[in-house]
Amino acid sequence: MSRFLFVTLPLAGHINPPAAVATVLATHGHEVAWSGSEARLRPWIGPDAPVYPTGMRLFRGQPDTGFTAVKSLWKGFIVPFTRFTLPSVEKAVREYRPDVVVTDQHALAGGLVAERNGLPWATFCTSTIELGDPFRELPKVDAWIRGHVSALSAEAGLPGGPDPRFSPHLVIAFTSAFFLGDRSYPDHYAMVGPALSARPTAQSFPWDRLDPARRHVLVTVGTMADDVAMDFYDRAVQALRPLGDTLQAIVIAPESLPGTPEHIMLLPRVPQVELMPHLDAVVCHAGLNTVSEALNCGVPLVVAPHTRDQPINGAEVVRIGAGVRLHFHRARPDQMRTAVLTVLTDPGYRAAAGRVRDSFTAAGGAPAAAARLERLAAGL
Amino acid sequence: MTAEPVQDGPAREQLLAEMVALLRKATGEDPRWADEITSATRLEADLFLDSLELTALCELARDSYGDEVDLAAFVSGLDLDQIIGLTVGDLVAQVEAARADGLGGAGGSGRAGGSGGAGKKK
Repeated sequence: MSRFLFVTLPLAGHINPPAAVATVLATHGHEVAWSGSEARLRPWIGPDAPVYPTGMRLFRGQPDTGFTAVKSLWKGFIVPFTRFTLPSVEKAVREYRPDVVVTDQHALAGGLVAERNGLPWATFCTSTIELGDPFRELPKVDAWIRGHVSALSAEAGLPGGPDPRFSPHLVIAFTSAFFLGDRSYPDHYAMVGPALSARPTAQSFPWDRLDPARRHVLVTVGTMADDVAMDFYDRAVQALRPLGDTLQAIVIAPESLPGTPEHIMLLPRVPQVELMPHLDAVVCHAGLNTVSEALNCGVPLVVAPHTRDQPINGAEVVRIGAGVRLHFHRARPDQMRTAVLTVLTDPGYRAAAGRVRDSFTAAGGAPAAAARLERLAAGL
Repeated sequence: MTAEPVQDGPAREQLLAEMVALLRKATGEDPRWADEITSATRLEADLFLDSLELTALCELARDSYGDEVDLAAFVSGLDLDQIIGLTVGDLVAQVEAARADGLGGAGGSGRAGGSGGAGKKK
């Protein structure tokens, strides 16, 4: 039996995959403790798992896009979050005495503290942003990010130490090599596919409103600033308004929109994993969790990437042929309607989504991630 | 960032109009969208140009002006703040300069300005 400390970011998409892996480790008799925001973690990990709280740093849905978002992600979040959590992660390691530290790729304190204490550690890539190497043609942008990372390493007493974004022992990515275009990665990288856990807090859903005679489309942009999201949803509702004869849409909107017709259900949240098998298409921002959940059920996509790793995920979806791409800000309702009808009509999109699903199944998911962590803990 | 000082006038106006046409092609937007574009329009904050569209724009510029206009090389020499602030006028100035000296591949690094070290500040 081994003891694992999972170091997390306070964002749903970054907690969901580790929670699924922790469940598998627990069934194998291992212990998992958590470092992170207790308020964010509890709904996923249950009442009993030990939590070493880092406190909660305010992190609003970011309205920024493109390079402005790269700058605010590092200066506004990763750097201050690392400084803020370093003492509490150190305390967690000293009190819990884990055999292995497992840390989110952007919770840099996890890798820094593990190195400082001479512990083996693993990286969880809950996004594709660092795997896609988006700045290989922009050396000054890459150097700017590396500058922040090495400054944090030096502050943690590890000048010139290993990059805390990438464990030298084990990097687990929650996507498949097939999805990322079969780029080559070092041997200590494990592409395990999505590790999905159903939301533990049961979400209600009006299942009886789903009409089996019509096709079903989910529209969601995940966690995003409300005004940015509502602007997108407003255009999506206009796009789907004339299609009530043939489809029903579920739109995850934080606010209501006046005059929404019967076939468009605006709901603040839904049980997305449970809903997915009932869907014929998903319109989304190309966040990794939503994309993976859809492809894992062979559901084709309309992607409108907004920020961070979303352009990478969206580009892969298009390259594979599992969906079509729209511009998040500029897509007009008529373009959105055409995109939805395209993926619903041409069976090639669903077939390509099915190929991604097969690659996910072969990658092994949470059990495969757990097996790699067990090997690391055993010193293999 | 600011465009290099270049003579205003018909040549410049013409290049701006051509760049706007390339932007329309790269984005698939309509003429009304293009009407709002000036030299000072920022690619990211004002036009929401994403990385794929920027790549397409660089390729379109090369197709229409020839290999000496290498906007991709120019962009790759920029730092984060320079990319965030990049304007349509900056691209026009690049085209103008590359065509003036007609040297292949020289369009890039020299013009980025503010050499290195951004990552060390803080």
